[in-house]
Amino acid sequence: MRPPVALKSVTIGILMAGSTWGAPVTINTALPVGSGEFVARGMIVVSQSGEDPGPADRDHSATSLVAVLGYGVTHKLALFGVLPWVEKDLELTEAGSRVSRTASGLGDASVFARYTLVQHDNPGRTFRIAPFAGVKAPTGDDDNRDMLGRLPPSVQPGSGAWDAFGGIVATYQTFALQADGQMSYRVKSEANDVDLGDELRVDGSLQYRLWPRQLGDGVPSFLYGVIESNFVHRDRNEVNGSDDANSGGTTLHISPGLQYVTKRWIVESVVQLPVVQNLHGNALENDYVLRAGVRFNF
Amino acid sequence: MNRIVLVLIGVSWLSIAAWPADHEVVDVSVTGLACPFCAYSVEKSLSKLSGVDSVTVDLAAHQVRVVMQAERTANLQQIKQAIVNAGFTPGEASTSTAQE
Repeated sequence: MRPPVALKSVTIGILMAGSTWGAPVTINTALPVGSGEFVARGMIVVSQSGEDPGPADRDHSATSLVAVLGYGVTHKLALFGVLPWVEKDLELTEAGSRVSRTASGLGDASVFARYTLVQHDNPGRTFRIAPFAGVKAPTGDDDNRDMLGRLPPSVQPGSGAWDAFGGIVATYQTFALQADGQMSYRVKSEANDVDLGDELRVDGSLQYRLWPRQLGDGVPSFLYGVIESNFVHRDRNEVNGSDDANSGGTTLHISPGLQYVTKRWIVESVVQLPVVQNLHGNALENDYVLRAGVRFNF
Repeated sequence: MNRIVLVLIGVSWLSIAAWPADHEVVDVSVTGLACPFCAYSVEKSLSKLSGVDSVTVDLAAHQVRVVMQAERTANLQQIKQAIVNAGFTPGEASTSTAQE
């Protein structure tokens, strides 16, 4: 059973969106975490993939609850931990009958570090560049079974494999808007005779302050309109040492949303809509991804 | 007579105790600060300093006001370092006094 490529790309996106700062919803930001300070983020991610071109008529859905904790080691170096809980369901037609295969549990945890390399501050605006690097550990169960046998990788809560990832994020923020750009690469390792394809991502985010129109005294809360883009290219998977022709490809999601930012918390939501899905073979296409979450500064 | 003297001493002591204390107020300009979430980070960092009574951020004015307790212990250098620790850049600072 080949994994739904688009869905897996989005799942990785959950981990890349580990930053707890106000700003982009689906990616990191270069804004700081204060020295000795904690910030936290909770997020629900609902993903739906269908439109199966094959006779199995696969329908894949996943719900993830993601907890992120960020800590400022110094004002330039921040550490992040990401822990997801996932529930996945795959419905498909096998031997003429419709079956549902489901699993839930702790997913794969990630830790990464981010260092602010460039910081240009001016009154009411800042520009920062921050590289980051980390690993994803196989903390999730990758050996769930049901009456039909071992569940396919796309339904397992964990991948069983270690990933290494790194990239760079740039942020420009003013009172009126914030723009973020990120490029990253993820190297995946083999587990259970499956080596998922490496992944290149190029992401962008623009947040525009919709309210208040004029800044008052003190620290007013902001309502941002958000538009983000996520370009992902994945290599083909290798199964038992051979390329899987029905895996890998290129996707582009566009994500409109809203974000309400106060001093101590943020509430936000975007819907990721696929606009390009050039997938190899009959890999399952993504229908949408809905993200909603809160962040706390404590 | 002794009772009158004691009453006068007591009243004098109460008057002194109730006299408004001077508080030093430090206004610091901060650059790089452009969102509410960031502002709280600066407030947290400054509030940890010994002797700080209150911290107020004015985003649009790019200013942070730090009101010290009557017997302050944090100095201007520590205040600026706290802003740096929050991830932002302190600028010019001015001090004044205010009564409680």
